[in-house]
Amino acid sequence: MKRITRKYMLLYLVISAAIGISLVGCSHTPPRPVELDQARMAYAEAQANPQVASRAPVALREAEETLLRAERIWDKDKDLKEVRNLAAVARQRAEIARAAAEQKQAEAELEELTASRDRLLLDARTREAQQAQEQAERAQREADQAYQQVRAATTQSMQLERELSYTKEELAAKEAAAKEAAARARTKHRTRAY
Amino acid sequence: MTSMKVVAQLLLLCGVIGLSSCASKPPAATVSQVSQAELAVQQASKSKAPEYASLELYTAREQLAGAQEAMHKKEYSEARRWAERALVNAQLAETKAEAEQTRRAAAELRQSIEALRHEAEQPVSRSR
Repeated sequence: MKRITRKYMLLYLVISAAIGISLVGCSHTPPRPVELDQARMAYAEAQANPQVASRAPVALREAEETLLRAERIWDKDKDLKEVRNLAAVARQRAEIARAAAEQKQAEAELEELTASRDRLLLDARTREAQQAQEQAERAQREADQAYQQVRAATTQSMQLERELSYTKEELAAKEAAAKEAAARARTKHRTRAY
Repeated sequence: MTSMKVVAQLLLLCGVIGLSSCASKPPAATVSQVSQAELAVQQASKSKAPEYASLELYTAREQLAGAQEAMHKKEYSEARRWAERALVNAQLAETKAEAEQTRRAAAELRQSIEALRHEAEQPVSRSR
């Protein structure tokens, strides 16, 4: 007898709990899925980023459209599966917008860097050409100087040679004069001896 | 009597076939969404995504497999949802990989510019 009442009481409890839960479930709409708020946050973050807004407007708009669709389906049908899916898609689209903006930014940077590298290369080439020209001019000057020196040396040696030959002639003349004088002296002596 | 039975059976068979063909024919939109996702995953696989966005690419592949499995099970709504997510993840993988590739190229160029500047700062010692 006692056991039976306890059994019934347990059953009663279980049934009332089940009814209570189902009632609560009925009276409350299902809670708004977390994914929807996450998607909204991801979109808001992307939209607040000026780089994304200016460099990836199309991807950003696609994210917004998906988000709005998710919100609409949530308001109208409360289709949890569909809303969760669309929210996840919207969130990824916001990520795509951010990645696309980063890609555009990196591309712009790459372009700028390419231009400055080209400028640097041009500068370096100009400088090298200038250096080469200066070097050539210096070499030319040195060659000119060497030529002048050679010429001066040649002139000097020619002069010396001339002087030398002049001295030789003088010497020969003097020798000849001395010989003549000696011959004359000898003849005089002979005539005197006879 | 037997002929009547046969006719009835035939009619039933036709009806069943007709119904099943109706039910098993996947919606054209879903088919196109799944093949779009396939294409996007293929394209991402050919890009630098396996190197620079492997997680996103992996996710996209898993989701695409989910879509294909759902198609086999004739769960078309499920297949469409998987395909939608696979598509965005493949696109995300590709875009992320492209961004990373460009960033790396820029970093490399910046380094070579630094080297050039360094060289240009000491032209005298170089020419001697």
